[in-house]
This record gives sequence, structure tokens and C-alpha cells, in this order.
Amino acid sequence: MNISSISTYAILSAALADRAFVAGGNTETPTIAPENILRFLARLRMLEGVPFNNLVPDADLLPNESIRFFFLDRAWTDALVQGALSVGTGNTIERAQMERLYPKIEAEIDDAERRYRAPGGEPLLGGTAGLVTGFVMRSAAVAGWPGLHVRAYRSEPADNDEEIVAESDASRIKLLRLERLAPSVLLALFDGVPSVLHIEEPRQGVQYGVRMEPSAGGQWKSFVPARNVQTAGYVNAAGNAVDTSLQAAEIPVAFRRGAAGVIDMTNTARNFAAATGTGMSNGPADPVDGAEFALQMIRFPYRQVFAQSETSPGIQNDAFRPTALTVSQGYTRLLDIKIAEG
Amino acid sequence: MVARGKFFLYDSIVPALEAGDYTMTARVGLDTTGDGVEEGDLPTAPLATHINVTAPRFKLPPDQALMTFPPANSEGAYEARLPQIVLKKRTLPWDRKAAPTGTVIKTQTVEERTPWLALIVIAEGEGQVVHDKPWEECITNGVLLTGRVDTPRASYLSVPQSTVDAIFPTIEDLAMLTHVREVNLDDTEAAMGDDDGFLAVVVANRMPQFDSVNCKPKAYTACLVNLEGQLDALPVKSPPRTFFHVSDVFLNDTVASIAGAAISGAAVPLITHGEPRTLDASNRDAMLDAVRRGEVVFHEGALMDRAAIGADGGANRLGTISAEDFLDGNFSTLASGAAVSQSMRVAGTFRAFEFPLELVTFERFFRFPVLTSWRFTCAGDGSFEQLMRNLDVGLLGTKAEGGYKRPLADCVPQASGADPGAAPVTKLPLEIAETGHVGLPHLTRTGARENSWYRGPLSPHQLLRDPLASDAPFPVLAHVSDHLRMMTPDGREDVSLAVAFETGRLMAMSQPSFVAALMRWRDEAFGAARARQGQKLAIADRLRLLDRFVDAAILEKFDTALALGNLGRALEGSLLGVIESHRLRTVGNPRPPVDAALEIPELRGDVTRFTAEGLGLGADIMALIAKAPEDPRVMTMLQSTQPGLVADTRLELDTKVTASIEATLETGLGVLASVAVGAEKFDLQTVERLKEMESLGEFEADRFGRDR
Repeated sequence: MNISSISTYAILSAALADRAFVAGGNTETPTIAPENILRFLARLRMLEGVPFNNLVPDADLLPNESIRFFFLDRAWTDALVQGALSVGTGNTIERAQMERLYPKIEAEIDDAERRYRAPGGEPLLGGTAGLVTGFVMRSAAVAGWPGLHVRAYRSEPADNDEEIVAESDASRIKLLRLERLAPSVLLALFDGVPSVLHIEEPRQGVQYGVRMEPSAGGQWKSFVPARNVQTAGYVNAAGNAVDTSLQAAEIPVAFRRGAAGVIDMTNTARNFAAATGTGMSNGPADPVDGAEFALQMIRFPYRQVFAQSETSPGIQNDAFRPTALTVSQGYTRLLDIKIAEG
Repeated sequence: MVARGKFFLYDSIVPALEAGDYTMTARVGLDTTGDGVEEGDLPTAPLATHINVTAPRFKLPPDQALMTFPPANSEGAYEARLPQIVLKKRTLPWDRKAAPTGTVIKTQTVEERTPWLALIVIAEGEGQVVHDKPWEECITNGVLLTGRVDTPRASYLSVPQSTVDAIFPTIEDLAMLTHVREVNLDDTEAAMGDDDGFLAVVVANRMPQFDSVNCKPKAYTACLVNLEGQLDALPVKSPPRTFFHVSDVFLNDTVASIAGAAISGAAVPLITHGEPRTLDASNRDAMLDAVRRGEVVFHEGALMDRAAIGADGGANRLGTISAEDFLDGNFSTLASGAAVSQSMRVAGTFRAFEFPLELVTFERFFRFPVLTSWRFTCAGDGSFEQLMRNLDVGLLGTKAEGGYKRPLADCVPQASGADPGAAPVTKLPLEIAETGHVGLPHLTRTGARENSWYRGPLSPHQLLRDPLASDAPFPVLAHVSDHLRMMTPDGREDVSLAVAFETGRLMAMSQPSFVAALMRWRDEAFGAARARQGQKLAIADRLRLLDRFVDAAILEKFDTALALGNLGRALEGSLLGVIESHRLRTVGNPRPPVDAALEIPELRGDVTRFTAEGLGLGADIMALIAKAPEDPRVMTMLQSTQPGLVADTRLELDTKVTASIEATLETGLGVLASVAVGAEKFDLQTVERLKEMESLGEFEADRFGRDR
């Protein structure tokens, strides 16, 4: 019996329609494409390995010290994926198969691209692929501060944004990719259109420092914003609690003569204790101790806020208020008791 | 436990016992009241236990430093930050005493919380860090340290009095520079690999500064130093000042000159003790060696000897030489006899932290043991805040000059012109369309030079996923033979998607593993599916044929089997079913499960006797075992029994066999000897007649060539 290629094609098409090509039967939700192929294609969708010249065709589009936001062109990434898939199709029948399957494969890649970056402790998000946005940034800040924190929000976080909500929270937009393409170029892709974007100095450990201001004749003056060591909140000159370091009283830092940058600790500590509302004393019974000094000197990472709305503040000065609890001899005593109790 | 993201700060955690050797003596007292026994009649010996409380002293164990700021060997704007080191052991800064508590030194009292460690930040020329010296040399002369030392060789920081006075903390400062931080162990960012959540922190009192005098980045070394017994070297309290001056970036002229030399790479001419050195200009090898070492350099048509002192006190000028001659290593044109013999040389002249300051500065020097040290550079080119606030923000496709310009220190002379530092313009201005497309030169397949539009995957506008959705079913799979080029209204091509397709194709091709996976996928899923469909086609109108073999009930299941591609298995299953139901007819009688065993004639008779004889045991024991195998006495008897001789038998070997073996052995030895020594008999004369062979060929001719 002769079977014409037309009837073969008809039967194959019918088989394709009822998902006869479902690969394997061992997974709970069988996918047409095997997992390793899906992973590669999802990585392509996230532009991994795409030459930088193809992303940003001219250096003028991304000058030094600039950040450029963009929408991801889905047609472009689809063409990229189709190019990769074309490798496995050699003849007409294979092409016919692939063409029939492609809508399903595409849906599977849509799903897989959200699994590209899966930070630990966060639930996976699924669903159809939506709009992807992102930014490329070329700055010395990328090179000099590796490990920047990038967070995108659907809406402006509440006033009290000390607590950083989990990435799976409804107010956050999931980061699909965050990678340094070059020492000074950062690429980020978001799963949606963020209205607020935070880029924050890496918080590796806690740093101590001052704010420096140049004054006339090659002199530098420094101060630290006053904090109450009992509550760790900022206080103004009258000793009342304020929200940001910009409103806080400025306590001058004393320097030693003849050596640039060497802090005169004793006199600085005296200034700390003399400022109203810091809750410190410099008496012989309760001198300024190391913990109190450290608390005043703690510098918190800087956070740059990019927002679409004109009314929202462009810059929030300090990323968050210190939440260290009070530090005094009393706590040392408490600790001694704890140690004694084992 | 502290909540995640929060921490407690403690002023100090002073250990109950400071490091040292202790003896704990335990005494027992006996109460003798009312027993009429004198106390002296019941003496008890005291029990002495020796305890050694250890702590690092000259060397910080590598696991103790959890974090340093600034990071080691890093470069950055650290001008407003205090360097610090985070230590794993919470009591480490108080494990020793720099001086006994209560000591008053320079009107300052040493307290219990005064640490024995300090983090000192020195710049180039302010001190010398020396590594790998006997520990006795690592302390200032005259300071005595008692007790155990943790390492025989250590590092030290050698600093002159002027540096100590300028940058070291006072005794009162010390307590403010150390504290303990308690963090949540789960907070990996804060805990940094600690084991108990308590971290000791030592902060420096000096903010590293950019060298605004020379407009150069400035290198610093942070040293964690041991202050034991040397608190009196620390500076006295000074009057306060609310500012510092940039000109104070160098403590004094010496520091400035050494740091300047380190920056320019020139050696500092030292009028001091050093090794006398002879450099003979007529000796080409010596000259080349000196050039390689960097001592002799070519400078503006002359050869300079940087390590020697010229007549004017500067670098010594050896003479004029042309650049070609210098490159060829031809020094013959130099004035004859331009030999240098009076110069002095000091090792490490070009490395400022290893500069032997003690040779050039006539001050009192102190040596502090360095537990650990790391280098960093203060580049001072804008803080994170400055950079971020001045970023040029825009959507992709915005053409702008860029944001923050690297700040030039005040010392940099103002250059004229628009942007003297900008790169020269070498290309046409970029053509950017409002849609984010850029016009790029394009050499087409036909060879025409065109200017086509291209836009990468990043677009300034929100785009439809499939721009042709209304014309064609969505989505469309493009193939290699398709072309994804588009014509734009201005008559130019838009090659964006074509480039994307080609990029994807090349990226897939560049990964053999992906290509292999695609092929496997096609073979396993597509190929198998095609095979199933082929089966279906083959059987579709021939199901009647199977009637002869298969029951009608089973035949119904074939449709399902066909759909699953299990036709072969279904046939196999039904065949087995038929066979099973007519087993006797098709296969025959089953084999008995067990075969009858064969009898061994030798074992006929009393088994116990055989066993006893074979093992050499007494018949009585065997009888006992046979009677009561589980009796423990039997086991005891068995253990104590000496196995006896089973039987004495003389084996007679056939003498013919022995003779044959010996004859064969003799012949074999003769062959071996003839090859080895050249004679069949191996005796003393043969060995004495042996001669050395010149080559293998000769050996072969001698041993195998002649007719024997």
C-alpha cells in the first residue's frame, strides 16, 4: 500500500494537535521541550551571552556615568529563540513539526524565563510572560561598589521603609536578571514596569565615618549627624527626634594637628557628649565608651531612588535609620550575666 | 538572639582571665572537731593544675579576621570612612593587657576596658612594615615581654616618634576604638562567617586622604598592632581643632619626599650607609643587568644611574648615548672609564612601605608587633553618593554627554578649552531615530553599501510582541530560509530581527552541548512520535490479520496501545498470554525444581570418625559435639585441644622425574650463561675474560653472531 506524504502529514498533524509529542512521562507537568533546552532558551530570552554590541549598538547610547531605562523588545528575543531553534531543524518535515509545536514551546519558555534567577528563600512566580523592562548603567559606581542592591517597586514604599520586603511581595517587582556585563556596566531586567527603583550601596558590614565638607583655604571640616544612643534615632539641635540625617544636629568632629584625617577621639567624644539629646555623658563615672562612639560614627549605605512621579522625593538621604539598640555599660553587664548563666 | 538586620553594640567584653600561664591549686580541708584527732594528723596534699590561657600575640590566625574595611588591595574613595577590622573572637582586644589596670601614663589612666590592640593606618613614608623577623626584634629596644609567644618569627611596624605623635591614638582613645557587635547568625551579611554571633571590632582613628598635594592616589597600609608594654610611647592629648588641612597630608618633609619618590618611581638618593656598588660602564653584561634592574635608565639622550649620587647631589649621569645604541645594548659610546664605584645602594628603595626609614630619619624609633596588615589605596574620585546623584538618567536612545565628571582636585591646573580630556572626534554623529533605531553601515549580501536601521532588544517604547499579528497567525516560527528584514517607510532596511535571529543561531551553534540536546530531543521525542505514527499507518487497515493470533477482547486494547506507541509490547504481552493458557501444548513438562544429589563413596561410613581424623581431633570430643553441640563445655574443650598429627606418610618421588628436572635446569642455565658472559660454563676465568662492549651491535655479534 502506498502512503502519500500528504496523508503522512495529515496524521502527524493530528498527532501534534493532541500533544503526542509530549516528552517523557516522568515529570508532573510534562513539557514539550526538555528542561535543559528550555533553560538555554530562557537564558537567551534574558539576553545572556548576547554580545554587548547587539544590545547597545553604539557607545553614544550609553555614555559614561549614565543610566538608560528600556522596554525589552519581545519580538527581538523571540527572533533570538527562533534562531537557536532553527539549528535543530534540517528538513521540511522537521520544520513542519517545529512550526506546529512552536506556540507551546514559546509558552514554556515564557514560564521558564522566570526561573532564570531564583534567589533562595523566595517562592517562584509563574504565569504568562508580561512586559519586561530594565536598565543598563555605566558608572564608576558599578566598578567601585560591587554587589549593589537593586530593588524595583510597583508603588512607592511606605514612609517607614526600614524593613525591606521580600522580592515576592506584591509591592515589589521581581528582578529577572541582574548582572555586571563589564566591570562598569550593570544590566537589570524587571518583570514589569516599576514605578520606583532603589539602587543602594552594598551593605557589606557596617562602616564608620563622617560627613566631610570643604571650607576655604584647603581646609576640610567634618561632622556627624547626632543620634540618641538610647534609641539610635537622629536628634536635632534641640534634642528632639527627627527622621532623617539631614535634619539632625551636626556634631563637629575634632582633628589632630599636623596630620590630615586623624581624628582626635577624646575631643570628638566630648563634642558628642556635649550635644543635646545624644544621651551620652562624659563624666568620670560614665565616660564615652567604644560602643557609644561607634554608634555615633555609623554610616549607613546611600540609596539612590529613581521614581517616575515628579512629586516623590528623588533622593532619600540615608537608606534606613539605624536600629541598633542602646549601648551602655548596662548592656555589658547584661551580657556578663548571660555569659555567667552559660 | 538579635533580630535579623539588627545588632547590639557592647563597649567591651573583658575575659575573666587574661592570656598567660596559671596554676590552679585545689586544697581539701578536713573538719576534725570533736573526734579527738589533731588537725596535723590528717594531712592532705594540694592538687595543682596548670592552665594555659592562649590568645594571639604576634600573629593573627587567618580565621580571626572576618572582614576588613577598606577591602585589602582595593582602591576607592575612602576619605570619609574609618578603616576597621572585624575579629571573630569577641574578647580578643581584651585578652591581654597593654599595661596593668590603674596605671597612670601621661595623665591618662589605663582602665580594664583599654585594649591591647590598635589599628594604625600609615601612609607611604611614615613607617616601615618589616616581615618575618625573630619576635625579639619586633619590639622597641628595651621593652620586655614576658610569657608565651605564639610565633617565633613575626612582623613589626617601625615608626619614628613624629609619626607616632601625629597618627597614633592616645590611651583614652584606645577604648573608644574597640567595641563588640552582636549580630544574628542567620544574617549572613552581618555575621560574615562567625560562630557565636559576637564580633570584636577595632576601628582606626584616621580617615585615609587623597593626596591633593600631588593630585595622586595615596597608598595606605593598615596594621593591627600589639601595644603591650608600649603605652607610654603613645602621644599625649592635644588641643582640639575642628578642621584639618590638606597640606598636612604628609606629616613632614621626609615623608613627603619618600612618598613623592614612590609616586614618581625614582629612587631617593641616600647619603647613608649602604652597600658600596661598582658599575663598570665598559662591561656590557653588568650594564644590561643594571638596566634590567631599573637602576640605569635612559633619559633624554643620556644614561642616568639612579642608584648613585651625582656630583650635584642628584642622580648620576653616566654620559650621552643615542636611543639606538641604548636599545642595542651598545654602551661603547659612553665616555671611557665612566665607572661608578662610590655610590651607595639601599634595597627596596622604590617600595615606600618597606623603605628603611631608620636609615634616613634621625629620630627615636618605635617598633610595634604587627598582627596583620593590609594595603589599600585612597583614590578619591567621588563617593557613591556623588556618582549616583550625577548619573545621566534617560531612556535608551537618549543622546547625552554623560553624567558625573571625575572630580579634579583643587590642585589640578584649570585647562582651557571645552573638554580637553575628551577623545578626539573620529566618526560621524550617531543617527538615532525616535523609535530607538540607530542607522548603521550595512554591507548587503549583494555587495551594496547601505545604511540600515538597527535596534537591539532594548527599546525606549513599549512594543507589541508580534507586530504582524493582524496579518499572520501568531506566533510565527521563522526559519533559516526566511528573511526577517523589513523595509521602513524611508526605503531603508530594518535588520533588527534578522540580526536577532542570526545571533540566536550562532549562540546555539557555539554551544555543542545545546546542539546535541536539540538533536537528542528531535530523535527521542520527534523521531519516536514519528515511529509511532508509522506503526499506526502500517496497521490501520490490517487489524483483521491479527484476528488469527489474538483474542477479540485483546484486540480492542490495541487501539490504546497504538496511541501510546506500545504496539510491540502489546503483541508481546498477548503472545505470552496465549502461551501461558496453553502451556502443556506449547512448551512441554516443567523441569523438576531440585535435582537428586550424587553419592560420594568415600564418605560412606561414620561421618564423625572421618571428621575427627581429618581435623586431627580426638574421637571423644567429636562424640561430645555430636551428642550435645550447644553445650558450652564442648567449646571450651575445643579451644584447649591441640590438634594432633593426622598421619605420617612418606611420599616417594620418581627419580626419573628429578633427573629430568635437573637436566632441564642445567641446559637452561647454560643458555642464559652463554648469552650473559659468552661461555656455557660460568666460572672465574670466564668472568675475568669478559670485555666491555662498545655498542649493542658488537654485543649481538659476539653473543649471537658466531656459530657455537
